[in-house]
Amino acid sequence: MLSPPPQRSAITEFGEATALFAQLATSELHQMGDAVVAMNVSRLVLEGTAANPDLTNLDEQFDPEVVKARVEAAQVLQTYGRMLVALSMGTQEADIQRAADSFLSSVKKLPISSIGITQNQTGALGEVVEGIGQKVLDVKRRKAILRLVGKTRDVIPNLCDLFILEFDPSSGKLATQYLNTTERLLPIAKIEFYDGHTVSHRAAALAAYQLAMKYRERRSAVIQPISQAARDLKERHEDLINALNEKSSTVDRLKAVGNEAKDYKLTLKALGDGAKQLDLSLLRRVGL
Amino acid sequence: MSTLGKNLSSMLVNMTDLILKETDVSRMKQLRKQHKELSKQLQTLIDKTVPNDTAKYRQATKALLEANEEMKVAKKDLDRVGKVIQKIAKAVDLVGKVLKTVI
Repeated sequence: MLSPPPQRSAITEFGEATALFAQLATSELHQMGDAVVAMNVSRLVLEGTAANPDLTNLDEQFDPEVVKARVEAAQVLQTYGRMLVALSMGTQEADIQRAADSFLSSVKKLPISSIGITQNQTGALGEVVEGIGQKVLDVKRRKAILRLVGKTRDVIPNLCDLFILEFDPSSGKLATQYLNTTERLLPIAKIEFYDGHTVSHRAAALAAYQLAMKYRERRSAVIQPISQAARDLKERHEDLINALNEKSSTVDRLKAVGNEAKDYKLTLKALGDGAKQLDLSLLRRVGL
Repeated sequence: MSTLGKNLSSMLVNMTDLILKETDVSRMKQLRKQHKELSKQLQTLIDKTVPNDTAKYRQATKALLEANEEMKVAKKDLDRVGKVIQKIAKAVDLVGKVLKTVI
Protein backbone atom coordinates (compact mmCIF):
# COMPACT_ATOMS: atom_id res chain seq x y z
CA MET A 1 0.00 0.00 0.00
CA LEU A 2 1.24 3.48 -0.81
CA SER A 3 2.70 5.37 2.14
CA PRO A 4 2.54 7.62 4.03
CA PRO A 5 -1.16 7.19 4.95
CA PRO A 6 -2.24 10.87 4.63
CA GLN A 7 -0.93 10.92 1.08
CA ARG A 8 -2.64 7.66 0.20
CA SER A 9 -5.86 8.84 1.78
CA ALA A 10 -5.78 12.17 -0.12
CA ILE A 11 -5.27 10.40 -3.45
CA THR A 12 -7.89 7.72 -2.76
CA GLU A 13 -10.52 10.20 -1.63
CA PHE A 14 -9.88 12.42 -4.61
CA GLY A 15 -9.92 9.47 -7.01
CA GLU A 16 -13.22 8.20 -5.65
CA ALA A 17 -14.71 11.70 -5.76
CA THR A 18 -13.64 12.16 -9.38
CA ALA A 19 -15.21 8.86 -10.42
CA LEU A 20 -18.38 9.79 -8.54
CA PHE A 21 -18.59 13.17 -10.23
CA ALA A 22 -18.21 11.54 -13.65
CA GLN A 23 -20.97 9.06 -12.86
CA LEU A 24 -23.31 11.83 -11.76
CA ALA A 25 -22.54 14.01 -14.78
CA THR A 26 -23.10 11.11 -17.20
CA SER A 27 -26.40 10.16 -15.65
CA GLU A 28 -27.59 13.77 -15.65
CA LEU A 29 -26.64 14.36 -19.28
CA HIS A 30 -28.89 11.46 -20.29
CA GLN A 31 -31.67 12.67 -17.98
CA MET A 32 -31.49 16.17 -19.43
CA GLY A 33 -31.68 14.87 -22.99
CA ASP A 34 -34.66 12.66 -22.15
CA ALA A 35 -36.36 15.57 -20.40
CA VAL A 36 -35.93 17.86 -23.42
CA VAL A 37 -37.47 15.25 -25.71
CA ALA A 38 -40.36 14.59 -23.27
CA MET A 39 -41.13 18.30 -22.95
CA ASN A 40 -41.00 18.86 -26.69
CA VAL A 41 -43.38 15.93 -27.21
CA SER A 42 -45.75 17.51 -24.67
CA ARG A 43 -45.51 20.79 -26.52
CA LEU A 44 -46.42 19.15 -29.81
CA VAL A 45 -49.31 17.27 -28.20
CA LEU A 46 -50.70 20.53 -26.85
CA GLU A 47 -50.07 22.87 -29.76
CA GLY A 48 -49.58 20.64 -32.77
CA THR A 49 -46.85 20.78 -35.39
CA ALA A 50 -48.36 23.70 -37.30
CA ALA A 51 -47.81 26.04 -34.35
CA ASN A 52 -44.23 24.86 -34.01
CA PRO A 53 -42.59 24.96 -37.42
CA ASP A 54 -39.18 25.58 -35.80
CA LEU A 55 -39.30 22.39 -33.82
CA THR A 56 -37.71 20.09 -36.35
CA ASN A 57 -35.79 17.82 -33.99
CA LEU A 58 -37.11 16.88 -30.58
CA ASP A 59 -33.73 16.66 -28.88
CA GLU A 60 -32.58 20.06 -30.21
CA GLN A 61 -29.02 20.66 -28.88
CA PHE A 62 -29.03 17.22 -27.23
CA ASP A 63 -27.95 15.64 -30.46
CA PRO A 64 -26.75 12.05 -29.78
CA GLU A 65 -23.27 12.91 -31.06
CA VAL A 66 -23.02 15.93 -28.75
CA VAL A 67 -24.14 13.90 -25.73
CA LYS A 68 -21.80 11.04 -26.65
CA ALA A 69 -18.80 13.40 -26.75
CA ARG A 70 -19.64 14.70 -23.26
CA VAL A 71 -20.19 11.20 -21.91
CA GLU A 72 -16.80 10.18 -23.27
CA ALA A 73 -15.23 13.18 -21.55
CA ALA A 74 -16.86 12.06 -18.30
CA GLN A 75 -15.50 8.57 -18.93
CA VAL A 76 -11.95 9.95 -18.92
CA LEU A 77 -12.59 11.52 -15.51
CA GLN A 78 -14.09 8.29 -14.21
CA THR A 79 -11.22 6.07 -15.36
CA TYR A 80 -8.69 8.63 -14.14
CA GLY A 81 -10.29 8.56 -10.68
CA ARG A 82 -10.33 4.77 -10.63
CA MET A 83 -6.71 4.56 -11.67
CA LEU A 84 -5.67 6.89 -8.86
CA VAL A 85 -7.59 4.69 -6.41
CA ALA A 86 -5.96 1.52 -7.81
CA LEU A 87 -2.48 3.01 -7.57
CA SER A 88 -2.93 4.38 -4.09
CA MET A 89 -4.67 1.37 -2.60
CA GLY A 90 -1.98 -1.15 -3.54
CA THR A 91 -4.26 -3.16 -5.76
CA GLN A 92 -2.72 -6.17 -7.57
CA GLU A 93 -0.55 -5.53 -10.63
CA ALA A 94 -3.22 -6.88 -12.97
CA ASP A 95 -5.86 -4.58 -11.48
CA ILE A 96 -3.66 -1.53 -11.83
CA GLN A 97 -2.90 -2.45 -15.43
CA ARG A 98 -6.61 -2.92 -16.10
CA ALA A 99 -7.39 0.51 -14.60
CA ALA A 100 -4.60 2.04 -16.69
CA ASP A 101 -5.88 0.34 -19.85
CA SER A 102 -9.40 1.62 -19.22
CA PHE A 103 -8.05 5.12 -18.71
CA LEU A 104 -5.98 4.96 -21.88
CA SER A 105 -8.87 3.58 -23.86
CA SER A 106 -11.17 6.39 -22.66
CA VAL A 107 -8.52 9.00 -23.51
CA LYS A 108 -8.21 7.57 -27.04
CA LYS A 109 -11.97 7.83 -27.54
CA LEU A 110 -12.02 11.48 -26.53
CA PRO A 111 -13.43 13.57 -29.40
CA ILE A 112 -10.61 16.09 -29.23
CA SER A 113 -11.95 18.72 -31.60
CA SER A 114 -15.34 19.06 -29.96
CA ILE A 115 -14.22 19.45 -26.37
CA GLY A 116 -11.15 21.64 -26.56
CA ILE A 117 -8.42 19.13 -25.69
CA THR A 118 -5.28 18.93 -27.81
CA GLN A 119 -3.72 15.84 -29.39
CA ASN A 120 -0.51 16.58 -27.47
CA GLN A 121 -2.33 16.45 -24.17
CA THR A 122 -3.93 13.07 -24.84
CA GLY A 123 -0.63 11.74 -26.22
CA ALA A 124 1.16 12.73 -23.01
CA LEU A 125 -1.46 10.89 -20.97
CA GLY A 126 -0.95 7.78 -23.07
CA GLU A 127 2.81 7.83 -22.44
CA VAL A 128 2.46 8.21 -18.71
CA VAL A 129 0.30 5.14 -18.22
CA GLU A 130 2.47 2.84 -20.35
CA GLY A 131 3.58 -0.09 -18.23
CA ILE A 132 2.10 1.41 -15.10
CA GLY A 133 0.96 -2.00 -13.86
CA GLN A 134 4.53 -3.10 -13.32
CA LYS A 135 5.10 -0.42 -10.73
CA VAL A 136 4.46 -2.64 -7.76
CA LEU A 137 6.99 -1.08 -5.44
CA ASP A 138 5.75 1.81 -3.34
CA VAL A 139 8.48 4.16 -4.44
CA LYS A 140 7.87 3.46 -8.13
CA ARG A 141 4.15 3.75 -7.70
CA ARG A 142 4.52 7.08 -5.95
CA LYS A 143 6.57 8.33 -8.88
CA ALA A 144 3.93 7.00 -11.30
CA ILE A 145 1.19 8.91 -9.45
CA LEU A 146 3.24 12.10 -9.44
CA ARG A 147 3.88 11.77 -13.17
CA LEU A 148 0.24 11.01 -13.83
CA VAL A 149 -1.19 13.96 -11.89
CA GLY A 150 1.53 16.18 -13.34
CA LYS A 151 0.59 15.24 -16.90
CA THR A 152 -3.09 15.76 -16.22
CA ARG A 153 -2.53 19.26 -14.85
CA ASP A 154 -4.07 20.79 -17.99
CA VAL A 155 -6.39 18.06 -19.26
CA ILE A 156 -8.43 17.48 -16.09
CA PRO A 157 -9.12 21.22 -15.58
CA ASN A 158 -10.10 21.45 -19.27
CA LEU A 159 -12.58 18.63 -18.80
CA CYS A 160 -13.89 20.32 -15.64
CA ASP A 161 -14.35 23.55 -17.61
CA LEU A 162 -16.40 21.64 -20.15
CA PHE A 163 -18.77 20.43 -17.43
CA ILE A 164 -18.85 23.80 -15.64
CA LEU A 165 -20.28 25.26 -18.85
CA GLU A 166 -22.54 22.40 -19.95
CA PHE A 167 -24.34 22.36 -16.60
CA ASP A 168 -24.57 26.12 -16.20
CA PRO A 169 -28.05 27.26 -17.35
CA SER A 170 -26.74 30.70 -18.32
CA SER A 171 -23.78 29.54 -20.41
CA GLY A 172 -25.58 29.01 -23.72
CA LYS A 173 -24.71 25.30 -23.68
CA LEU A 174 -26.77 22.19 -22.93
CA ALA A 175 -28.20 23.45 -19.63
CA THR A 176 -29.47 26.58 -21.40
CA GLN A 177 -31.22 24.37 -23.94
CA TYR A 178 -32.81 22.55 -21.03
CA LEU A 179 -33.83 25.88 -19.46
CA ASN A 180 -35.34 27.16 -22.68
CA THR A 181 -37.32 23.96 -23.24
CA THR A 182 -38.70 24.01 -19.69
CA GLU A 183 -39.61 27.70 -19.67
CA ARG A 184 -41.19 27.38 -23.11
CA LEU A 185 -43.53 24.61 -22.02
CA LEU A 186 -44.86 26.16 -18.79
CA PRO A 187 -46.86 29.07 -20.29
CA ILE A 188 -48.14 26.82 -23.10
CA ALA A 189 -49.38 24.32 -20.51
CA LYS A 190 -51.10 27.01 -18.46
CA ILE A 191 -52.84 28.64 -21.42
CA GLU A 192 -53.86 25.33 -22.96
CA PHE A 193 -55.29 24.32 -19.61
CA TYR A 194 -57.40 27.50 -19.61
CA ASP A 195 -58.37 27.18 -23.26
CA GLY A 196 -58.74 23.41 -23.51
CA HIS A 197 -62.21 22.45 -24.74
CA THR A 198 -61.99 18.80 -23.86
CA VAL A 199 -61.20 17.04 -20.63
CA SER A 200 -58.41 15.07 -22.28
CA HIS A 201 -56.76 18.23 -23.65
CA ARG A 202 -56.90 19.88 -20.24
CA ALA A 203 -55.55 16.72 -18.63
CA ALA A 204 -52.66 16.74 -21.12
CA ALA A 205 -52.02 20.41 -20.30
CA LEU A 206 -51.98 19.66 -16.59
CA ALA A 207 -49.58 16.75 -17.07
CA ALA A 208 -47.30 18.97 -19.19
CA TYR A 209 -47.37 21.63 -16.51
CA GLN A 210 -46.39 19.15 -13.79
CA LEU A 211 -43.66 17.72 -15.99
CA ALA A 212 -42.14 21.12 -16.72
CA MET A 213 -42.37 22.18 -13.08
CA LYS A 214 -40.50 19.07 -12.00
CA TYR A 215 -37.81 19.60 -14.60
CA ARG A 216 -37.55 23.21 -13.55
CA GLU A 217 -36.97 22.08 -9.98
CA ARG A 218 -34.31 19.69 -11.22
CA ARG A 219 -32.50 22.57 -12.88
CA SER A 220 -31.93 24.37 -9.60
CA ALA A 221 -31.60 21.27 -7.39
CA VAL A 222 -29.31 19.14 -9.56
CA ILE A 223 -28.11 20.67 -12.83
CA GLN A 224 -26.81 24.01 -11.57
CA PRO A 225 -25.10 22.32 -8.55
CA ILE A 226 -23.29 19.94 -10.91
CA SER A 227 -21.75 22.97 -12.61
CA GLN A 228 -20.54 24.10 -9.20
CA ALA A 229 -19.33 20.56 -8.42
CA ALA A 230 -17.22 20.64 -11.60
CA ARG A 231 -15.73 23.93 -10.43
CA ASP A 232 -14.95 22.36 -7.04
CA LEU A 233 -13.41 19.28 -8.68
CA LYS A 234 -11.06 21.51 -10.66
CA GLU A 235 -10.02 23.24 -7.44
CA ARG A 236 -9.56 19.95 -5.52
CA HIS A 237 -7.40 18.61 -8.35
CA GLU A 238 -5.13 21.63 -8.23
CA ASP A 239 -4.88 21.34 -4.43
CA LEU A 240 -3.94 17.66 -4.72
CA ILE A 241 -1.25 18.31 -7.32
CA ASN A 242 0.23 21.10 -5.24
CA ALA A 243 0.17 19.06 -2.05
CA LEU A 244 1.84 16.07 -3.74
CA ASN A 245 4.50 18.14 -5.47
CA GLU A 246 5.49 20.45 -2.65
CA LYS A 247 8.54 19.06 -0.93
CA SER A 248 7.58 20.87 2.24
CA SER A 249 4.04 19.48 2.20
CA THR A 250 3.17 18.56 5.78
CA VAL A 251 1.08 15.67 7.03
CA ASP A 252 -1.55 18.22 8.08
CA ARG A 253 -1.70 19.70 4.59
CA LEU A 254 -2.20 16.27 3.02
CA LYS A 255 -4.81 15.42 5.63
CA ALA A 256 -6.64 18.65 4.83
CA VAL A 257 -6.63 17.85 1.09
CA GLY A 258 -7.92 14.35 1.87
CA ASN A 259 -10.64 15.69 4.16
CA GLU A 260 -11.75 18.24 1.59
CA ALA A 261 -12.02 15.51 -1.03
CA LYS A 262 -13.97 13.38 1.44
CA ASP A 263 -16.42 16.23 2.14
CA TYR A 264 -16.72 16.83 -1.58
CA LYS A 265 -17.57 13.17 -2.08
CA LEU A 266 -20.35 13.47 0.52
CA THR A 267 -21.73 16.52 -1.30
CA LEU A 268 -21.79 14.55 -4.54
CA LYS A 269 -23.53 11.62 -2.87
CA ALA A 270 -26.18 13.97 -1.46
CA LEU A 271 -26.61 15.49 -4.92
CA GLY A 272 -27.01 12.04 -6.46
CA ASP A 273 -29.54 11.02 -3.79
CA GLY A 274 -31.45 14.26 -4.37
CA ALA A 275 -31.59 13.54 -8.10
CA LYS A 276 -32.95 10.03 -7.43
CA GLN A 277 -35.63 11.43 -5.11
CA LEU A 278 -36.71 13.86 -7.82
CA ASP A 279 -36.94 10.99 -10.32
CA LEU A 280 -39.14 9.03 -7.95
CA SER A 281 -41.43 11.96 -7.22
CA LEU A 282 -41.75 12.62 -10.96
CA LEU A 283 -42.75 8.99 -11.57
CA ARG A 284 -45.32 9.22 -8.78
CA ARG A 285 -46.74 12.45 -10.25
CA VAL A 286 -47.19 11.03 -13.70
CA GLY A 287 -48.70 7.92 -12.17
CA LEU A 288 -46.08 5.34 -13.17
CA MET B 1 -22.82 32.65 -23.61
CA SER B 2 -22.78 36.38 -23.98
CA THR B 3 -24.16 38.84 -21.44
CA LEU B 4 -27.12 39.23 -23.75
CA GLY B 5 -27.88 35.52 -23.47
CA LYS B 6 -27.54 35.52 -19.69
CA ASN B 7 -29.96 38.44 -19.39
CA LEU B 8 -32.29 36.84 -21.88
CA SER B 9 -32.44 33.51 -20.03
CA SER B 10 -32.96 35.27 -16.72
CA MET B 11 -35.74 37.37 -18.26
CA LEU B 12 -37.40 34.31 -19.73
CA VAL B 13 -37.53 32.66 -16.30
CA ASN B 14 -38.93 35.83 -14.68
CA MET B 15 -41.48 36.14 -17.44
CA THR B 16 -42.61 32.54 -17.01
CA ASP B 17 -43.20 33.27 -13.32
CA LEU B 18 -45.19 36.35 -14.23
CA ILE B 19 -47.38 34.42 -16.68
CA LEU B 20 -47.99 31.70 -14.09
CA LYS B 21 -49.05 34.33 -11.57
CA GLU B 22 -51.21 36.35 -13.95
CA THR B 23 -54.94 35.73 -13.67
CA ASP B 24 -56.15 38.10 -16.38
CA VAL B 25 -56.42 35.89 -19.47
CA SER B 26 -55.92 38.71 -21.96
CA ARG B 27 -52.75 39.99 -20.29
CA MET B 28 -51.58 36.39 -19.86
CA LYS B 29 -51.86 35.81 -23.61
CA GLN B 30 -50.14 39.08 -24.40
CA LEU B 31 -47.25 38.10 -22.15
CA ARG B 32 -47.23 34.62 -23.68
CA LYS B 33 -46.78 36.07 -27.16
CA GLN B 34 -43.75 38.05 -26.03
CA HIS B 35 -42.46 35.07 -24.06
CA LYS B 36 -42.59 32.94 -27.21
CA GLU B 37 -40.56 35.51 -29.10
CA LEU B 38 -37.98 35.74 -26.33
CA SER B 39 -37.67 31.96 -26.22
CA LYS B 40 -37.03 31.91 -29.98
CA GLN B 41 -34.37 34.58 -29.54
CA LEU B 42 -32.72 32.60 -26.76
CA GLN B 43 -32.71 29.52 -29.00
CA THR B 44 -30.89 31.52 -31.68
CA LEU B 45 -28.30 32.54 -29.10
CA ILE B 46 -27.85 28.87 -28.12
CA ASP B 47 -27.53 27.75 -31.75
CA LYS B 48 -25.36 30.57 -33.08
CA THR B 49 -22.52 32.84 -32.10
CA VAL B 50 -23.44 36.48 -31.87
CA PRO B 51 -20.82 39.26 -32.03
CA ASN B 52 -20.91 41.18 -28.75
CA ASP B 53 -18.99 44.32 -29.61
CA THR B 54 -21.65 46.34 -31.39
CA ALA B 55 -23.74 49.32 -30.28
CA LYS B 56 -26.92 47.35 -31.06
CA TYR B 57 -25.74 44.60 -28.74
CA ARG B 58 -25.15 47.04 -25.90
CA GLN B 59 -28.54 48.69 -26.42
CA ALA B 60 -30.32 45.34 -26.40
CA THR B 61 -28.51 44.23 -23.23
CA LYS B 62 -29.48 47.50 -21.52
CA ALA B 63 -33.11 47.10 -22.58
CA LEU B 64 -33.17 43.54 -21.22
CA LEU B 65 -31.74 44.69 -17.91
CA GLU B 66 -34.39 47.40 -17.61
CA ALA B 67 -37.20 45.01 -18.51
CA ASN B 68 -35.87 42.48 -16.03
CA GLU B 69 -35.86 45.05 -13.22
CA GLU B 70 -39.42 46.07 -14.07
CA MET B 71 -40.46 42.43 -14.15
CA LYS B 72 -39.15 41.83 -10.62
CA VAL B 73 -41.43 44.64 -9.41
CA ALA B 74 -44.38 43.37 -11.43
CA LYS B 75 -44.04 39.88 -9.94
CA LYS B 76 -44.94 41.47 -6.60
CA ASP B 77 -47.48 43.91 -8.02
CA LEU B 78 -49.45 42.58 -10.99
CA ASP B 79 -50.87 46.06 -11.69
CA ARG B 80 -47.46 46.91 -13.13
CA VAL B 81 -47.72 44.26 -15.87
CA GLY B 82 -48.81 46.84 -18.47
CA LYS B 83 -45.59 48.76 -18.02
CA VAL B 84 -43.60 45.54 -18.19
CA ILE B 85 -45.19 44.60 -21.50
CA GLN B 86 -43.97 47.88 -22.99
CA LYS B 87 -40.44 47.36 -21.69
CA ILE B 88 -40.38 43.77 -22.98
CA ALA B 89 -41.60 44.89 -26.39
CA LYS B 90 -38.69 47.34 -26.59
CA ALA B 91 -36.22 44.64 -25.50
CA VAL B 92 -37.59 42.06 -27.95
CA ASP B 93 -37.29 44.59 -30.75
CA LEU B 94 -33.69 45.49 -29.90
CA VAL B 95 -32.62 41.85 -29.41
CA GLY B 96 -34.28 41.04 -32.74
CA LYS B 97 -32.12 43.69 -34.45
CA VAL B 98 -28.98 42.09 -33.00
CA LEU B 99 -30.02 38.61 -34.08
CA LYS B 100 -30.86 39.72 -37.61
CA THR B 101 -27.12 39.97 -38.20
CA VAL B 102 -26.61 36.24 -37.57
CA ILE B 103 -29.76 34.60 -38.93
